[in-house]
Order: sequence, then C-alpha cells, then structure tokens
Amino acid sequence: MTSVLDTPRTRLSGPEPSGQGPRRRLVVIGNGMAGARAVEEILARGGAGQFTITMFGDEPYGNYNRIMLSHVLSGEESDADIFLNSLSWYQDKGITLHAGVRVDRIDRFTKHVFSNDGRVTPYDILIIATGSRSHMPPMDGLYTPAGSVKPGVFAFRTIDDTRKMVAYAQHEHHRRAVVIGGGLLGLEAAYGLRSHGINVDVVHSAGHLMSAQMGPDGGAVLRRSVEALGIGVLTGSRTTAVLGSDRVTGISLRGGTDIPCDMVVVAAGIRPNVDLAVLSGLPVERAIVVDDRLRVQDEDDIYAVGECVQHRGEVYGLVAPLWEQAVVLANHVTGTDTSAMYLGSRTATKLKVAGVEVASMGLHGPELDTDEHIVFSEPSRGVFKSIVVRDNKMVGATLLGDSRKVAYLTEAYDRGLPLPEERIGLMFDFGTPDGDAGVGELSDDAQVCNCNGVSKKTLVDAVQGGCATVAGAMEATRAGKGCGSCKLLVRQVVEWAADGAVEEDPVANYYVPAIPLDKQALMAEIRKRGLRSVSAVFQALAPGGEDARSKMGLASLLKTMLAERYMDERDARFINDRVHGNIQRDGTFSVVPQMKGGVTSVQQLRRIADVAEKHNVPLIKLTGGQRIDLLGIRKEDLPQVWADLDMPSGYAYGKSFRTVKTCVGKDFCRYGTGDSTKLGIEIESRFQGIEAPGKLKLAVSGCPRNCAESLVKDVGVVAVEGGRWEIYVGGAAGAHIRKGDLLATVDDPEQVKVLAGRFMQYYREQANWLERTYAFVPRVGIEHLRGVIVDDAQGIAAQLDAAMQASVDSYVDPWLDRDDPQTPGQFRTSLPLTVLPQVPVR
Amino acid sequence: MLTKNLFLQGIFPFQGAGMDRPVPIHSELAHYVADGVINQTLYFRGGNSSPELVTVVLLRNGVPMRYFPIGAKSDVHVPLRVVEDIEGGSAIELYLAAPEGVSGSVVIDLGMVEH
Ligand SMILES: Cc1cc2nc3c(=O)[nH]c(=O)nc-3n(C[C@H](O)[C@H](O)[C@H](O)COP(=O)(O)OP(=O)(O)OC[C@H]3O[C@@H](n4cnc5c(N)ncnc54)[C@H](O)[C@@H]3O)c2cc1C
Ligand code: SF4
Repeated sequence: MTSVLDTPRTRLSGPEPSGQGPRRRLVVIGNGMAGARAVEEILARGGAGQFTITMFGDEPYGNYNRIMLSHVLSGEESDADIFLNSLSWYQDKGITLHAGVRVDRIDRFTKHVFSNDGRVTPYDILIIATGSRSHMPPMDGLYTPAGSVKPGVFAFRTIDDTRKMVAYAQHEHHRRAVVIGGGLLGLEAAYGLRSHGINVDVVHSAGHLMSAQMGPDGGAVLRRSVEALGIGVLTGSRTTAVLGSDRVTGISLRGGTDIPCDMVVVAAGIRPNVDLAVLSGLPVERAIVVDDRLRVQDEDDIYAVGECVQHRGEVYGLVAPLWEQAVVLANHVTGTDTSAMYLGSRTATKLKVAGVEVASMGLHGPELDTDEHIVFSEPSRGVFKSIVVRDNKMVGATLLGDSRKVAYLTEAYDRGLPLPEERIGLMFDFGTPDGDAGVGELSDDAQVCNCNGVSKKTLVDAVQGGCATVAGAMEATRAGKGCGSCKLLVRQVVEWAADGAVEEDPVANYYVPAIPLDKQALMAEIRKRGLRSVSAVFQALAPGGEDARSKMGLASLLKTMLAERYMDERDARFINDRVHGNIQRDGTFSVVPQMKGGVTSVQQLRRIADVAEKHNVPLIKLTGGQRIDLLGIRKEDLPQVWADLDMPSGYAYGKSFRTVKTCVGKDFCRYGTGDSTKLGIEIESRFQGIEAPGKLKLAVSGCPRNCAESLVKDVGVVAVEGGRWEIYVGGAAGAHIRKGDLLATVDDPEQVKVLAGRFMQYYREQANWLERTYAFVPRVGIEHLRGVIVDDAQGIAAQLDAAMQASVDSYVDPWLDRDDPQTPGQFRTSLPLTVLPQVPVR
Repeated sequence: MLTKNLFLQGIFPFQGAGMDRPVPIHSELAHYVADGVINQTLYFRGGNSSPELVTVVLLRNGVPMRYFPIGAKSDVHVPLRVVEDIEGGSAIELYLAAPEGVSGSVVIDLGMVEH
C-alpha cells in the first residue's frame, strides 16, 4: 500500500480546528475516470477556493484512461501514455491523494471515512466514485483452494490486469487463450491477445456475438469479421469449469466439450463496486441510488458518480454518461448552478478493434408491429446496417463495417430528430461528397466526441476562436482524446468549420512537437543562442516548457551539432539509450559487444562464452549485423556483464550508427576484388556510436555478388572491377524494403570513408527525427545529394567533414558508464510506470 | 451496457392450498432467462384482497429465492437491496402460499432487468 502527498500527523481524525479558514473538506473515494473527472469539474468551478480535497484510490497510480487499456493490451498504446492526471497534477492542485489505499467504511453520522491504512478522515462533502469490477460468472475450478483466482485466469479491468495479461501472453509457453464473453470487452480482449500471436477462442453463451448490442443477423456478419482476424468463435456455449490443478490447462463447456488453453480471460460483464456503500448503510439496489443531482438518496452530503451509480433505475457502463454526471455534480457541490439536473443518458457503443468497425445504439430489432426495420447486409464485405424507426423517430441502429453515417445517426437517435422520407438516405450518402455532407447535417449540439462529451458547436467555436488546425482544436477541446474512434469525424468537423481554410498542421513540420520550428530554423536558433543542453533548448525555445515527447529528438540533434560540447542529460534519453541496451519484450535487455566488420577472435569468443556462462545468459544469438547477441540480461546485471566482457558496446540499440556487415572479400573469396573486410572494419572504427535521426546500418561487399547485402543498407559499399568502389545510400530491408541509390563510384577506400561520412553528417543535420535514410534519400533526391556530397555544390563539404570529425573525436564507449552510473536508478529494476514510494503499513 | 426492463404483473384470483404449500398463481407469472443474458430482480409490489396473510414466493429453477408476505387486505413494496445475478438458462416463477380455503385476488408487479 502506498500513499503520497499527505502529512499523516496533521490530517488524522477529528474535525479540523476552527479558524483555519472557511474551506470545507471534500473527500472523494475512487480515483478512476469518474472521480477524477468530477474533481476536475469542481476545480473548474472554483472548487479549489471552497474545498480542501482528499482523494482515495485503490490502485497505486494517478488517474488513467481505462478505455485505452484495450489499446495497451493490443500494443497500440504504451501503458505510460494513458495517464490522464499525473501525480504532479494532484500536487499542483493541492489535492491530497492516497493512492493504493482503500476505503472500507463510511460513518455517515459523524462524517468520517475509514481506510485500510488505519486512517480516519473527516469530510463535509463526500463523493463516492468506486466504479465497477469484472463479473466472474460461477464456474467450477475458477478459484484455488486458498480462495484466489487460479493462475492463468484474468479479469480485464485495471492497468495491473492488463500488464499481467501482456506478460503472460508473451511467455513463450503460453500459446492458447479462451476469452469468456463475446461482448465489446471480450472482443477487444481477444483482439489484444491475438496481437501477441496467441491463438484465441471466444466463448459466448448467447447465440451471437455482442448480443446486448445487436440482433442475430448483425451478429453473424460480425462473427465473420472477427473470425477473419484469426479469432475462433463459439456461440451458444457456456463455460462450466476451468480445468487444471495449479494453473489453467483448459476449460469445459456445457455438454462436455473441453478446450485446452493456457490462459482464460473473463469478460462476462461488470458489477458495480457497492460493498462499501452497503456496509455503510447507503441505499443500494443494483448500484448506489442517486437522484437527479447525483446525491445519494436521502443523504445531504454524499454524492456518487460513475459506474457505481444507479440513476432512475439505470446503471451505465460507459464513460459518456459519467462526464454528464460529473458536470451536474460539480454544479451542485460548488453551488455554481443548483438547478442543474441529470436526466439520464442515451448511450451508443463502439468496438475498438482495428479493422472491425461496429457502432450500435438503442434497439437492435423491431419490437412493435408498427416499427419499421431497415436492413442492409453485405456479409462478404463485412457490412451490415440496421435501423429501427418508430413513429418517424430512430430508436435504434447497428452499423458494421461502415461507420460514415454514425455521427448523424447518433444524433438522430439522441435527440429524436425527424427522419427523411427516403429512409435509404439514413444509411447512405447519394450524390453528395463523403463526410462533408454528413458533417453539415449535424446540429450544433451533436456530440462529436462521446468519450469527452465534445459537441460540434464546441469544436466549431474552437476553430472560430483561432484553432485553425486539427491538432489545435483537439487540444483545446479534448475531442478525440478518449478512445480515439471519433478522430476522423473531428477532422471533418474542423475542416468543415474552417471552410477550407484549415491550416496544415504546422506541427507536422516541427522537428519536435514542443518547439514551433522546423529542423533548420531550430538548428539556427541553437547556434545563435549557443544552447548546449536539452533543458536549455526547452527553456529558450519551447513555449510550453519541457515536453517528454521532444527530448529524444533534441538530444540527438544537439549531439549531432555539438559533438563533445554537448551537455548530456540522462533524462533526455530513451530507455535503450539510458542503459545502452535493447529492451526486450519481457523487460530484460540484450547485450551486443562490438565486433567490427563481423570479425572476431579466439580471445573474444572465449570471453563472451565465459560471460554467458557466468551470467546464465538464456539465449546467445547471431544478429543480422554479424555480431553476437546475449539476450535476457536483467537491468541490474548490465554493468557487471559489461565489466566482465570488457569490450566496447556494439550499439545494437539507439538511434545511431550500428554496424558494418561485410563479406569475406578479397583474401579468402574466389571472386572478391576489394578487401571488404578491412574497409568494413575501418568504417566501423571511424564512425562507431555516432548519433543520427534514425539507426544506421552499413555493409561492404567485395564484389557485385553482394554477399553482405550492401544494396539494402543505409550506406552500402560494393567493390567493382578495377579496384573501384560503388557507394549506395538509402537502402532498407526491414519493415520497409528499398534498393539504395548509387551516390558515387570512387577509386580508393579513403574516398569511401570521406563520402560516407559526409553523407551521414548531411543526413544527421537535415533529416527529421526518426526519419530513416530510405525516406530521407528519396525525399531530398539522389541528384541533390550527389550535388552536395560529391560535387560540393553548396560549398559545405568541408563543414560537413569537420562536424563529422568532431563527433568522431568525441566518441566515448557508453558501457564505461558501468563504473560511474549517471543517475542513481540507471541500473535499478523499474516498472515502466512510476510506482509510488512504499510507506509502512500503519 | 444495454439493459432491458421486464415485468411479471397482473391481478389474479387465488385459492389457498395451505401456508406451507405454495402453488403456481398463473402461467403468465413465469419467465425463462435466455442464454447469454443475466437477469436481476429489482423490486416486488403486491396487494392482497383476502382477509388472511398470504405469501408470494419467488422461485429460481423451482427453488424459493425470496418470500414476500402480504398482510390481510394489505400491500407491500419491497425494493430489493440485495440484487443477485440470475444466469441465463434459469426459470423464474412466482408462487403463492395462502391458508387452505382462503380465496381472493393478488396484485402482482415484479420488476426485473436483463442485460
Ligand atoms: C478495457 C476496457 C475498455 C473500455 N472501453 C470503453 C469504451 O470504449 N467506451 C466507453 O465509454 N467505456 C469503456 N470502458 C468503460 C469505462 O472505462 C468505464 O465506464 C469508466 O472507467 C467508469 O469510470 P468510474 O470512475 O465509474 O470507474 P473506474 O474507472 O473503475 O474507477 C473506480 C476507481 O475506484 C477505485 N475504488 C473502488 N473501490 C474503492 C474503495 N473502496 N476505496 C478506494 N478506491 C476504490 C478503483 O480501484 C478504481 O480505480 C472500458 C473499460 C475497460 C475496462
Ligand atoms: S560479395 Fe563478392 S567478394 Fe564478397 S563474399 Fe560475395 S562473392 Fe566474395
């Protein structure tokens, strides 16, 4: 259990001494999406002046976007990127956050809450936002005899659940998973696991997938799309037991079939967290009962918000309603608008599985004889559309595989708009350009972004208020920053509102997002002002101050420009660069010692073998760049491994010069005309470790047979007849494949080194951050490059050579860090997320 | 989450068969929870026109789950605070137990949600 930002002695029991000012005590239980949003809304209404705010959250983190866990599971998003409010946010706002602390009981008569760290906290106003948890349907063998869930069984609710699932899914012996529940969450979980290469079956007890959101016909189309992703689907099957004694080995279905598997994810619905409220005597039915002001029924000072709430008989499992609730609640709590009422939400759902578009709202089929039902189905393309109309109003829609009309239909559903006579116009745009027409049809208060409750008008106002770019409008309104499914629509609205005057995002030209300058202008400023460190650049040039996303790019640029005059700051580096190793899927690192030109010696091999043995290296592997890779080294062991190796780093990580692959060349090969091995070693010795916008992989081949694959390298050299050498640039053979362009043919190896170095320096100075040479070379054009590099058309050749020489001269083997770690935590284990400091349990 | 409200309701004549012998009230007062759906009963309202105490019994798969006693010529409203999940595949029925020989009408309104 952990806790931050509190001063335990001063905020214990008893009412605060009077005379400490008029601020009342606001306590919030639950630091999830609803709790944090409610606090944000309260602060936006001047709450900071009215209240001292204390929050309790069961999870040991700040507040994060739970919706994005689906993307984290599928690897589309990293867990560090989904935080909404960092810990410093709470600090800045003067909020006391008890993270990792659970509230066990409320005494609503004396107005105190009791938490599991023994703390007793008084309140004047209490907000309960405890959310829900995953529902575990009854199954034999779900729990171990000790009462915990059997290893290999997962819920899908929290960041910890997600991380554990990812870790489990990446374990090499875990190949097969069963997801119980074929609803929205189950499909997202299945898709996520599939992305890790796991074989997944979804077991759903109803007759078709997403049965709560759509009818059997739509379900059948959806099934085809899901199966096309390689996910098995079993409908009409109920899981009766989880098999395996100490860990999962399979599941049993009703009717006796068993499915073997290594992991089970339960996504069979959610249940509100109401134990606390029940125990404390608050009115709970399906969830905590609240009135239209979000006040707990018959309680004057207790509010509740989010998924733990039952309002007018409804319990919601989506975020859109809780945004609306938070606004009403904040209006009452702060007294800003005491007439505000929450009247319930009409919800629409979307599936966040790439390539399978699903949107659904309201009824999924006709219920009355008089209901009209309009259906369009094209299963082979995965398209299905169904609309239910009652009394000329839309009461439900299901759209699969084509969501262009979603915005309009959502609005028609939300607000009961009269529908066009020609019903088919509801499903398709005829003769109108895509998008625009759809956007024009929307009324002002149509919700564009459901996750953040942003209306068309809010966006249009932002555009008219001067946000002329899509990113600007998104930043200003928060639209598109939830599940992300509305980004296309946001773009359309912005374009429509700007009436063609939407500016191209200048950010697209910025070298790094935080500084409004392109690369050349940025370099000019850095030179003019004599800046030498990343923090100095932020201070001088970033209007918004430091920005994590910009650090790496700046660090690389400064090193390129300044060589040894660069002032290194560790936190400007990416994890790979901080510890000089490649982080692997399981959080361990790989160590690749330098092996110039792929040549090694008996001593080196013996040393590597000894080190591998001493450290129990689980995998020794030859890399594609002709080196030996020691995989599976724990972070804290890195310095010792380097010390034992006592060899320089091979730079198998980082955005830098990495390796020169060579063939055997003249001395040994029957065909070789040039000494490719010797030249490769010389090139590697010269340019080792230099930073670049993207990694640089090189090769030298001894003849046009090209055994070192020189034509698909960032810089590739090939010996040709007559002792001449061809230099190719901009090749690639990774995710992107491109044959390099011939830069020059030269007479001697020395020339090769000069031109290769000059090319690399030009690339370092001109390319965008993370732009590989295969993109850079075609962008600027090979003729242009030949002009600058070979013919010195711009007269900068000497300058480029000198800058490169300075970088070469300032080379230091990064593995020498082992003797002198640059930060205390450099080689300490750490989770990708900051876990709060441990405090003793009181 | 999409939920649907469901009700078992109506006014039905009854003939008591003994306080310890609950009998079906009417075929309309039975509901089968479809596969893939979870049902939760949320409240019960009842009225009793007879001059004796009667008890309406909520059965899940033939096993009593809740008892709702209704006084003579009286009524009850029970908002259920302990809400249980009734899994798909279960049968929900309402029975009535009344002293033998007693007859009258019961008013019944059982509110449920399914999702
Ligand atoms: C994987 C996934 C994908 C989703 N995708 C979507 C989507 O695409 N669209 C959508 O609209 N919704 C989606 N949702 C649902 C959405 O995340 C929830 O509606 C939303 O998080 C509810 O917010 P909440 O604050 O009520 O509950 P939560 O976010 O669950 O927050 C409650 C918090 O309270 C804490 N807590 C509970 N009890 C206590 C206690 N006694 N003391 C202290 N702390 C306590 C919990 O630990 C939790 O951190 C998704 C959910 C998941 C899990
Ligand atoms: S590239 Fe030519 S010299 Fe080099 S190994 Fe192949 S055939 Fe021999």
